[in-house]
Amino acid sequence: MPINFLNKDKTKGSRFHVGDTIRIRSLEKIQETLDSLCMKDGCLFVEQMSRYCSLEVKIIKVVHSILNEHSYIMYKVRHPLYILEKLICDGHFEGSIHKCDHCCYLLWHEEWIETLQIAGVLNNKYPIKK
Amino acid sequence: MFCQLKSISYLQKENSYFNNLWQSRIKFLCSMKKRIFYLKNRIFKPLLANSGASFMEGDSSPINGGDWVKIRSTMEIKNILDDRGATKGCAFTPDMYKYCGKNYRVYKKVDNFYDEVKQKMCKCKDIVVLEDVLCSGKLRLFPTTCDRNCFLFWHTSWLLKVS
Repeated sequence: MPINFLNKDKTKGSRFHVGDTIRIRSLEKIQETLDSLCMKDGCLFVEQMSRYCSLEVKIIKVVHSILNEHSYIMYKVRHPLYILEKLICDGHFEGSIHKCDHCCYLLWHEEWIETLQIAGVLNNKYPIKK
Repeated sequence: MFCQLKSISYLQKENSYFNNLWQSRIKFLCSMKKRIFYLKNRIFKPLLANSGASFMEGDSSPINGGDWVKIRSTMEIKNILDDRGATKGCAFTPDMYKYCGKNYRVYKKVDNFYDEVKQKMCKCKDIVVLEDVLCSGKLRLFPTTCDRNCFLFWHTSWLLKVS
């Protein structure tokens, strides 16, 4: 029996799929979905994400499960989230002394992205940081 | 709280009691495996030392973002790793073996990072992340894979600078 015998169909429940080119909604539309903690279903909309609003970008992964490294327990997310090509956290945060170089991919909620008929292509795969 | 990593607990759906119980068992097995691995290395590594491939000397200049590097061979890296399978605290995971011997571009040099386990910012040195070298999220015994797509951390001693 394979180890991942409990693995369910991961595409279930997500509106978009890997490889789809989508457009990130405008900041105004995204702000309408946020609660007082700047979250939607627990997904935090960080300040730097506003820079990418209205951008056309490809989905590289749909997030259904995440490992909480602190507790070392795998959890399912409350709502499918999306990882978009090139959109990596730059680690700059207001009030923090040091810049974080962890280079996490930003997580996007389904409500913050929309379908796109014409595929948009971005030039460089990653902006290089020195 | 201005970081998605710090707010990860808000994202997660509560697991069932049995799921948590099952995963606690995995946590226990993993810690046991680490101890066995350490003991095995303490006993057998001195006997097998220097039995592998020759150690290639690379360019000694510091590695920065944008540089091209070659990841050393599996044998070379095994010779560098300590008894815990790490170099100065940077763990070499089984997921990383498939990248050995290949050339990649450095995406970023890591000086500070948010450590999820310690839940604080940590300083580090001689660590880089490479373009397209991402964690597969496959973890033994876990029922599902982690979809976070994290960049793997590479110690510069595992890399050779390519001009």
